[in-house]
Amino acid sequence: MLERRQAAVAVTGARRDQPGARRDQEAFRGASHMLPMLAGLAPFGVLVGTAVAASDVPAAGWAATWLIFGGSAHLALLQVLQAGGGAGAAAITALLINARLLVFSASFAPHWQSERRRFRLLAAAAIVDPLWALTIARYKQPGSPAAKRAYYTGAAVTLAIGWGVAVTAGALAGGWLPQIDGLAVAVPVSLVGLVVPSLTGAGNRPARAAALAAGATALATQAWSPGIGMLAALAAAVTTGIVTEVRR
Amino acid sequence: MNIWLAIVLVGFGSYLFRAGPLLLGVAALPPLVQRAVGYAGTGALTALIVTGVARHAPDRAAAAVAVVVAAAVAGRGVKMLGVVAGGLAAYVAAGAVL
Repeated sequence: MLERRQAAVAVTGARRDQPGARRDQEAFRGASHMLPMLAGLAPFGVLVGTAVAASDVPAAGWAATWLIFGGSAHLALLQVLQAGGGAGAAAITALLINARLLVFSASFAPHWQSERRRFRLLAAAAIVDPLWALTIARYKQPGSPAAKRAYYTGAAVTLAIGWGVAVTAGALAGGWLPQIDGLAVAVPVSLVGLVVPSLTGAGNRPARAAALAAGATALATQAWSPGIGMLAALAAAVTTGIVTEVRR
Repeated sequence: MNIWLAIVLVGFGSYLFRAGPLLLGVAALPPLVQRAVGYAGTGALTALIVTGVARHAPDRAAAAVAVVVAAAVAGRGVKMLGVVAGGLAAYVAAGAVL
């Protein structure tokens, strides 16, 4: 009896030590750690979905969910187009918002140096703030590259599915939701939730100056073409932020 | 056509941002570039907030109050759901008063 139990533990232990079993566990951990973040992102996803429903070509707006895979850039693009801005101005605005992805990607580069090119190309497609925040911490912990890769994959797939569901839900409900008074203000309010955390703190004075400059310029250029006004606001933000830094 | 073109451009460009450093082996961007990117992103979102209030909101005064309250709530570290709820509550209250 004891020998049979010992044999069973040995088999189970061996199975537990097998690389496949560890990768499954890591993938599950990544997915389960992403779920709470997804719960916080879901309302924003629904809001993006309502903007998709209100766009001129909802199918295109919905396809952007995965083609762009970034809520703030997605929303910005739809808003500039809806305000009458051209494709160029809308694209530049959204790209400048997504330019921060360069920084996230660069931080993964040392950890993925030994990974196959196929993984790097596929995994790169999912890089976005919440995924970076969650998984970069895992990469700094001990563990095999395979385990960390599995963790990233579990988290990335969970985020992609969950985000898609949230935006789709908002797009489907969008036909009714705009009738609710005040929903139009939910979009700028949610953008406040995204931008304010980067402005607080004593060291963020240049960021606050950049935000003020952008806001003032956007207000002053209301009569301009929406796309040109946005570009002017961006130029003001970058210039003011850097000048404020230099003057510190 | 406009929207499809914009989406494809942004999708392609965003993927280049995501994959470029990985394929080129860039482990760090020059600090000035990093900071300029940060300011551009912050500026874009702020400009969208301002235009969202000025151009689109049915009641601009109430919308401005909503944004200010949302900023105060976000400044206290409250999560997104709380920020949106606070802003919408302020919008409804301001709309009734103003």
